[in-house]
Amino acid sequence: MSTWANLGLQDSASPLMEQLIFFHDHALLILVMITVLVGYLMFMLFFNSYVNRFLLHGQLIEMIWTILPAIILLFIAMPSLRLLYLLDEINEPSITLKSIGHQWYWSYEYSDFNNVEFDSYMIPTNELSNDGFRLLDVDNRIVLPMNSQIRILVTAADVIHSWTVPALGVKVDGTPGRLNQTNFFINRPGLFYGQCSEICGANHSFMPIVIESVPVNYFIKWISNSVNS
Amino acid sequence: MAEEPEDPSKSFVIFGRDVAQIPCFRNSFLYGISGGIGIGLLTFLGTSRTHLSTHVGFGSFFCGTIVYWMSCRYQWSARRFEQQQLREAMRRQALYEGTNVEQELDLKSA
Repeated sequence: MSTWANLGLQDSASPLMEQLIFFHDHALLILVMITVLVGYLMFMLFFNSYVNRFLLHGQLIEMIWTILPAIILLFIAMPSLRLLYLLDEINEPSITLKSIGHQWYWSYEYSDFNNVEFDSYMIPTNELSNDGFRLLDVDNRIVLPMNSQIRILVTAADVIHSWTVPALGVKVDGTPGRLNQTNFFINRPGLFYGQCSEICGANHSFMPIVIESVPVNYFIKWISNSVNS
Repeated sequence: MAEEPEDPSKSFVIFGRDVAQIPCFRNSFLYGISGGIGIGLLTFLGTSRTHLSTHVGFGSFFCGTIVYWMSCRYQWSARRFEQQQLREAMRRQALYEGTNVEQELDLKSA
């Protein structure tokens, strides 16, 4: 989860997020090297001796600084396109979750299982336990099975919201009157936090999302209890 | 040139990220920096021109780092994919052992 002064990506809980992190490292190294190059060129200006006052053109250097960036861009574009198509793959989800954004809470529906539905409100700070996470913990978490392909349908009831879980690499807008679909796969157990990512009014910052990823047998037990209660 | 899992005792944290754990990162910069210094020094020994040697050394560092990174990451990615295929094949082998599916697969591969 995010803590204060977090600049980087969170640890991945999904193979797609893992691939996104790899691509991020690759692209960032190239960017850092370009920045170092430009810094070096600027630094060398201090030692310039102004010998080319009548310079008009330089065909060779123009060719170099056209072709070299094109090659570098190719090496960024190829893994980027690979990842783009990988993110679009659909892999037969085993469970569907519906997420509806409201002002200012999320409601979830597990339609596969006798219409299990519940609302998920942020726990106010004055009601938070000593071990709770301020502005992140909710009263009812989404419980999902790990190592299963999950489809999520996101919409909203009033204004545009956005359902986000950074550890899974998921960010989907919930628009009133529209169903947006995405798939994800959680490959480890744990709690994964996210926050609404589209400005939606006064309490936009106070409608978090919490996923509790559990083994399949625990999920079945949980869903049976939810259906019966 | 594909990397083994990075040594957890070697840690170098920048802005909260342990960059020494990024595959190929450490070796890319080690080879790049040492290659740049080495080639720069050799150029200076050969030409006695400081500016040119600095430019050559930096250029070697730049090209060396990027080229090593590209090739190492590609090989690491390919090897990782093979490891995943192998893991999946082993899982399936355990699943299908003693069943008709295993016999059909044996017939196909024979």
